[in-house]
Amino acid sequence: MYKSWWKILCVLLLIYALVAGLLVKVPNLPILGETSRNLFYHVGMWMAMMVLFICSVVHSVRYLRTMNLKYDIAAKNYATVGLFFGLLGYATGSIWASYTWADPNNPAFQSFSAVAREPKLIGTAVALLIYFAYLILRDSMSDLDKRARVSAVYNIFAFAMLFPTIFIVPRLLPSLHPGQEGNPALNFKDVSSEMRMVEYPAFIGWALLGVWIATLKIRINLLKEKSLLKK
Amino acid sequence: MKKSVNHFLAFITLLALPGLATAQSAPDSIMRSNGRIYVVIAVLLVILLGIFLYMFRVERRLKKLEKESRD
Repeated sequence: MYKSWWKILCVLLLIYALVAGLLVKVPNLPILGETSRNLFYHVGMWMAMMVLFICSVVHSVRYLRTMNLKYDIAAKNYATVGLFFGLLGYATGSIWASYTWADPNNPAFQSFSAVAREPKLIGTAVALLIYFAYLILRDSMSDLDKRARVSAVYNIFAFAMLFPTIFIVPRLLPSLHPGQEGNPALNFKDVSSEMRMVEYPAFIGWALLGVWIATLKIRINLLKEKSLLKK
Repeated sequence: MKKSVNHFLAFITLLALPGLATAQSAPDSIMRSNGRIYVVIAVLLVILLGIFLYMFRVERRLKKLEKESRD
């Protein structure tokens, strides 16, 4: 949390993702064209969100094992920053969709209702709402230990709900998103090898950026609650 | 309470976002030139702006804490 080597690594990876992401040769697909470069940015947001939610649930479990409030603070801040990255993923996805699926000039044109019925869109909305409910649940309790305990348990259930809502159900239904048959982001056959050279460093870079922001928030919160925390 | 209002606003934004997908422009607009590369630029701008706004919010909390510790 306090070391700086991984922050430097994050900056280097993101600079690489920006420069190489805009310069790398992408296959010219009919629906996507150059917009397939969004793989490094739009999908990177979701990757960062997943990593942050995993960090959050790990800290919730650690809280339940030790009853140390500092893990509760960590879990809360990882979840908030994860939600923020989820919202960014949503915003970037809607821009991307408006020039690909929802674009009447495009051969793959789908009406707005078809795009809005897209299972991945609804699934991620449900998953993000479950995490919003986590934050609202936290705010609704004033007793610190009770709040920490209840929200840690809720957080584990929220994490469990991520899997059906964003991974399982969207793959059972017809979807506009690629990767119906497997794992879209980690499948070696879906993405050309040049793009893969940028894809993974970009994903790691975005995830590190998310963790960096979250640790800053955690450090601010730890300072604020200094009097409550046991050493 | 104020926090819950913030969460509610974020939730409304979330639901409204797919509505942006209906915003359509003329086929010869700049967004569709050069293989639609400017869509990628727009996505990058949204990400940058989002992260900057978020960092300003984090800093505001830090400022408040600094002020409290000074008093």
